[in-house]
Amino acid sequence: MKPYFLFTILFALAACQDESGPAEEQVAPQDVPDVTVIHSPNGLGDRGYNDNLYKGIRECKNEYGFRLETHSPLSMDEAEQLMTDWMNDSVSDGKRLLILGSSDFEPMLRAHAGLIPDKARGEVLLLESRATDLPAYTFYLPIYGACYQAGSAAVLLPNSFISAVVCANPLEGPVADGRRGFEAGFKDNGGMLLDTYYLSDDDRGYAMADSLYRLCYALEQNYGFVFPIAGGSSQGLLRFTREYPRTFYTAGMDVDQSDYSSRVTLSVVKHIDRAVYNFLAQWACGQTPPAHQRLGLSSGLVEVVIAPSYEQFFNGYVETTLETAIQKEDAYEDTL
Amino acid sequence: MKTRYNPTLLLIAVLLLLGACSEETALPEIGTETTEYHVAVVLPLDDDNRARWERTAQWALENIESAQKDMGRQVRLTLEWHDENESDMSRLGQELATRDDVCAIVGPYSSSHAQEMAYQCAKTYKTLIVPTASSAELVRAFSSRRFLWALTETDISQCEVLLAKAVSYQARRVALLAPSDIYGQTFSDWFAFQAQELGLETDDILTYTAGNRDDCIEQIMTGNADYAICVPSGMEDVQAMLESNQRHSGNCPRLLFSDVAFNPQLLNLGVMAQNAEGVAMYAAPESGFEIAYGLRFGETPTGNETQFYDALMLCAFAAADCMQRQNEDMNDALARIVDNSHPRLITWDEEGMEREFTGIASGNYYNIYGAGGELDFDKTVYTNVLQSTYCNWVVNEGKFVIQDFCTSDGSRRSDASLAGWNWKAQMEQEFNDTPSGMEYAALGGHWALLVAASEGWTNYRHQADVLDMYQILKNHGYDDRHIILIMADDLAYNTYNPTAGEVRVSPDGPNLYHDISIDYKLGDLKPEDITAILNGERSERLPEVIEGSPGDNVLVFWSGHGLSGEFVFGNLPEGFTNELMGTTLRQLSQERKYRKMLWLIETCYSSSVAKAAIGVPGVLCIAAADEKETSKADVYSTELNVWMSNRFTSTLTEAIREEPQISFRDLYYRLVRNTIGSHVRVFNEDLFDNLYQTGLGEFVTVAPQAGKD
Repeated sequence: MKPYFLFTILFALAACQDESGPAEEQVAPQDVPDVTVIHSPNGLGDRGYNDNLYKGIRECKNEYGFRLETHSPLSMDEAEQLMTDWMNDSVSDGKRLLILGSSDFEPMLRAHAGLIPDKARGEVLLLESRATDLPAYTFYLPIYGACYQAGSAAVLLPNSFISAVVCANPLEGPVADGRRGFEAGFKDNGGMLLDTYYLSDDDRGYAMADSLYRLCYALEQNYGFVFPIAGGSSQGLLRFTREYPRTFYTAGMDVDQSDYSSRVTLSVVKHIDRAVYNFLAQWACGQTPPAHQRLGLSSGLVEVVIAPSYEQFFNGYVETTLETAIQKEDAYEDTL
Repeated sequence: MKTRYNPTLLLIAVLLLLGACSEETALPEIGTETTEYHVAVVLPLDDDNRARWERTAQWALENIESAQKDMGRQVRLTLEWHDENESDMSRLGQELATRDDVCAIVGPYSSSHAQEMAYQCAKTYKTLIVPTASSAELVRAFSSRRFLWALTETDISQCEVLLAKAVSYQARRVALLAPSDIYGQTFSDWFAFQAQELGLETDDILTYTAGNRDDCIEQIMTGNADYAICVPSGMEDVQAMLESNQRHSGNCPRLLFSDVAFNPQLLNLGVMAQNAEGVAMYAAPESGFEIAYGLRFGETPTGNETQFYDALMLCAFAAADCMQRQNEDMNDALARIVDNSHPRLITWDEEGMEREFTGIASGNYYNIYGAGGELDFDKTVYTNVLQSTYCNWVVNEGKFVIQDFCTSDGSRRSDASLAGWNWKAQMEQEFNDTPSGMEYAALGGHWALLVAASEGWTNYRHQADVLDMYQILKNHGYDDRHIILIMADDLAYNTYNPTAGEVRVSPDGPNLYHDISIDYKLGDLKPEDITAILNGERSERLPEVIEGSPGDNVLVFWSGHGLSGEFVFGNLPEGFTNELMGTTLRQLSQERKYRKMLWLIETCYSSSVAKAAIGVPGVLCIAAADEKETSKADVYSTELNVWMSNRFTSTLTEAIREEPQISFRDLYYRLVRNTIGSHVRVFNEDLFDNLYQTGLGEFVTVAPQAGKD
């Protein structure tokens, strides 16, 4: 065969590959990877972290064409069953990834670490975990720094020198990190009194919008600013502030929630969609993503977004406090 | 020999190779067997919406195809589109319902169009999946035959969700503005009942036509309500409502719109639409559909695209089931598909569909969870989903913002006989179990006045119910002389009646039109004649009257239409009013024309007339509905195309048959619990008797020796 003709055929075949996905390390059709996601119990539909996570995964699926199975279990027991079923699946072959969508799954994963298959038969990604000793990928988006900025900014609002933080639960993890960050920023900048409320002792606190809505009647009496770190429960607070638009100021969490209420002054945004997209893009292409990552304020994947109607009020405050907040976050992480 | 390569030929070769590549991926696998199923889609295909429906369909079809790519036997849906606004719905329905090549119809969008389509599909059991039509009348009418599949809860739920939203905004007085069509009817039927249940005061309920729409809007805007629930029949209505609201800005009710306003056309209204708010059926947030939709199309789904997507998905699953079983009954297949006893699976996406298709092939169905949420149907009637997700939308800066989600209630509705509208009535009346202090003469005789106060085929149920009561009384010892029967008598030999000479209250019930003695045709009387008949004022024109005495119990059963403050009397401009009833009862009391008198009233707003009994000794009134409530029809016949009975009356007659001596107190509780959609009310019990100790037997059962011959 003449080289000119061979070149022509190769060019045409390459073009075929281009059509169905990125050329680099393209996965052959018969090796379409499987991705299984287990969201936090009652997580999907929270219009916050879980929805954003789902968005990033689906966006990557649309681009890279892997198979995607999504589970939003109703309880940790159901989640555990789903996880062990995946680990015990001896039928599926090929490239598989299990994404556990929250650090709440870490104890469960540790308990069944022995079941995690070898890399050839499946890999695990645990989100929002600092763990480095598990046979799983981990990455987390710390919010200490961004919450520090939020706490600093909150003090500037009228009547906000007495404020409250509402947490999903008192467990160690992102919620506790956020609470500490907010508290430090609030107090460093002249805040007088900060009370903390917990909705639950466990993961149910992420899905108690009704309880938080009712709690708001009491919060309104005493606080000028209420900072929610409560996952989907925050919808109850947002609804309350819509219905009582002259009530306390508040903040969005995980995604920009300024559209949901005129009292949302700023949002602590975690771009988990971009973070998980980046990870999956590497994994789907056959590259090896970093085993453990911290993607905090300095990475740009976590940030404070000021609501449009409060931009003039804060007037560049977030930008001026960014460097301090990054330093505070680094220092906090060093203590862990 | 040298071979020369022509560049043009080379280019063609490259293009051919490229073409071959792409064609190869499109070709089915060797050995794949594909069966096509043809679906008729009937939706409004105006310029603003057509592209949305088509792109949603395209997405669903892509996923359906992709989900089966590894299966040896596949189904493929082919669609034919009809614009419901450009079609004669009855003719189209007739055509589609009888075409063998159409396995199912998806649509129409509007409830009135869906009703016309359903009439035709009922004749052939053609599968009709209505993604959006949500009128309760539609669902109730056709629930007895398994061909209609409604993918949203009825508007009973939407009305409740809207009122609950008003409650959450601290509303105290609410008003309703709804069109006088089948869509608006559900809202106007249920509004007052639900408002009362939620502790809201009803300011006004206005139903409008094209002719008086603007007047009604003006009336609402200048009324005393805090919130007005606006139920537009189209976007022109929305615009008129918003314009009026803007004119009265600051001094008029806040508006909450129903689902029709959740339409991209609303955004075209610009500043006027800013802050417009309402509720609409939407994607279940847990399904992830909204996010995937946003990624694909760059905006949020509106206009019930979610339910449309689910409708096509259901068609594909049912088609696969038919193919596997070599059975062409789509309705049976759908019943298997939506059976909820299997593990739950999110099935709207490609992977979920793949698992369901695989499950169907092996007979292991999943509990499917579509874009709109769990597709859970009542297992007996399989007519509409038992749970819908409603979003609370608001327009902000030219886009829809979904603020939160609501469902009609926290509990599942699973009562088969009441599918989709299983209300537990609250706010029951309490009665004293102490002697009333009333003293009565010994019971002498019994008289009954039975009035069917409407005429015409469409009002079948009123005359049928009266005939049923007539036969019950006859069976309990009454003779014709002691029953004054008033009815139009235009049913038995009506041209619409397929079984001439017969009238029933249920499809399988006995013929009631036999051995009857009709005393007066409705059209020969006027409301004042009722007074004369009850008062025994015999005349040439009124030869049959009640000859009541202080020892006689008199039963009045009235079935017909009602307005606020009157019972409609045939086609006369004025009916039997509250004032006339008050005058009549006081006159009868003064002239001692009865011992005890019981009125059982089946009309809308019946309490507004029945309350005239208050203060008249010995009279008890039991009304089917509160002052601002409609009463509800019951038992629809798809054969006759009419309602055959009413809810209050069917419960009443059932109680008489099962327990003729039932106490009034027990009768009341039975009526309250089974009369869904209106509040049964008892009037004047304090001047009647102890309701625990006395009962229907005093009026219904005639001891042989007590009858007058």
